[in-house]
Amino acid sequence: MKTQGMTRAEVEAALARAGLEVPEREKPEIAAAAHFIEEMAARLRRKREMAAEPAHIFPPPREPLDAAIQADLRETTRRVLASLTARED
Amino acid sequence: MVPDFLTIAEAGALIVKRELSPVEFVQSRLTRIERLDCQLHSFIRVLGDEALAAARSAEVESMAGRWRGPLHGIPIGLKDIYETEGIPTTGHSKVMIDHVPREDATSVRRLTEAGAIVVGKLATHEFAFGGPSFDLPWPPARNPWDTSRFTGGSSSGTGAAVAAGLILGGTGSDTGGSIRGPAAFCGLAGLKPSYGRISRAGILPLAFSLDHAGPMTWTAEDCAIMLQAMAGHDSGDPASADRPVPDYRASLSGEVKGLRIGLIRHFYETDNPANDATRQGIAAAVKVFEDLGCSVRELRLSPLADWAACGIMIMLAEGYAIHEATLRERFADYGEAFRDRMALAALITGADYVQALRLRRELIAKFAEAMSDLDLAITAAAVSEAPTFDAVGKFAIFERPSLTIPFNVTGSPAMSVCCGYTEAGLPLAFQLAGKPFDDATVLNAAHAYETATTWRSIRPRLS
Repeated sequence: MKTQGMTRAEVEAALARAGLEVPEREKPEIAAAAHFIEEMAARLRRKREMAAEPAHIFPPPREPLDAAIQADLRETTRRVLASLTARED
Repeated sequence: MVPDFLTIAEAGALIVKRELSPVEFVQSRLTRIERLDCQLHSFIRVLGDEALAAARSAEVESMAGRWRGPLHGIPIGLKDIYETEGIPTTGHSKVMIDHVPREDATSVRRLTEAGAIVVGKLATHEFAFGGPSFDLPWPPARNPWDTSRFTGGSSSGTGAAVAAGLILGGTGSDTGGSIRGPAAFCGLAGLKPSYGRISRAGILPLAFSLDHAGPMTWTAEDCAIMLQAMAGHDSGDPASADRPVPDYRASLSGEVKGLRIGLIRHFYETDNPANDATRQGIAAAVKVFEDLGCSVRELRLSPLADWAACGIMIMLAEGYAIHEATLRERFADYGEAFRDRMALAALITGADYVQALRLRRELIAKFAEAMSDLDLAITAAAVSEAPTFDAVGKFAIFERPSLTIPFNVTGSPAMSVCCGYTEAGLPLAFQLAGKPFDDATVLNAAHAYETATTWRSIRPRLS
């Protein structure tokens, strides 16, 4: 997979911009590993519809009142269903 | 004389019959820790007095007939990213060496309410990410099957301590394979449950959308027992699932006839080739499932490199956001493995992160479609037996695509199951994965496999 190939100077500039005080000894090793990030970043990109959505894995937080209403509704429904006779069920 | 090795199910049965005293049992584990952990380094902190006090309470309750369930009086350990009230929780890091939480993590509270006895805090890769490291306040845990070898990470102390019989079960966390990797290398049953099944509240995070808490034990049955106590909705975790918790232990019928299993062969044959011993172990496991009445067919998913790129870029971006301020202020206080790996996240753009999330949606949709007429998937948990420490490089997680991270991306349950040993006596493993919130089927299949084979009777020899 073709990547742009960041130079060591570019990687060091990015680390400095991020405010990381990387020891001199470790800078060449991090720079040498930068291609992993570039390769993965390239792999993420593919032809997509403009509207292709990201994954949203968190449900929106409920308002406390909404949560209480929903919990009450669920409990009431359970109670009603449990009280039904076989014929009504 | 308390046996060196018991499962949670066995010990629980002895305690309820009053044939095993919780006090004697906990004391025997503390003695064993004292004798063996100088080689294994699986514990960061042993809580001897607290554990014995809890054991005495358990004994009183047990004698009075107030049995809380199968974890009552069972010694466990906690990965040191699980917060514990009044007890330091460090993430195995100098950065948080003085951190003393005010309350227990939700899952810790649930385990102790179920009667489990915490005997100590366990080694981890630094903040569940950087390791194995020799430049942290504590050394890395060593593999009880061969102490020159890696335990896998990041739940390294849990893997070592359970395999060595220092505890009967422990907690792990799994963001890209940190339960299943050590379980595979140490010969355990390690379950990464469905995302949202166990609360993450009070557990030091690595990556919010990929972090899973879970149990590590000797058997699938013991995983079911621990999961039962740990699972359930928690309003303190915004991703916690408000869904009923089934009776996992009761679901361990051992009956798997008719289960449809997809074999993801390309993951470990072409995408990240496993060694011969691992391949043979998986082939033999497939035969066991077929003999038990399962149908097994090939399952082809997206290339492993796509899953790894998606998962690792999300992990780095979310992890960097968590540690950004401290990395700026105290870069040198982190271990070299953590800081240099995490520094690479400074190269990730906002667009990269969103593209990873878009790919995640696509991968999840494809996986759901591929699993529509299957109950389980099987593949490798690791490419080989545990390597020696010197074979694990600082950037190893980037060099070959992880076999475990696909199921962090999907959030589906996945488990490492021991499937034999190499000629040198090192454990081998395969991985079972299921549909989201069908953790019970994964556990039951693992239990059926363990019951049909003899691997659970082999324990490491320690002196």
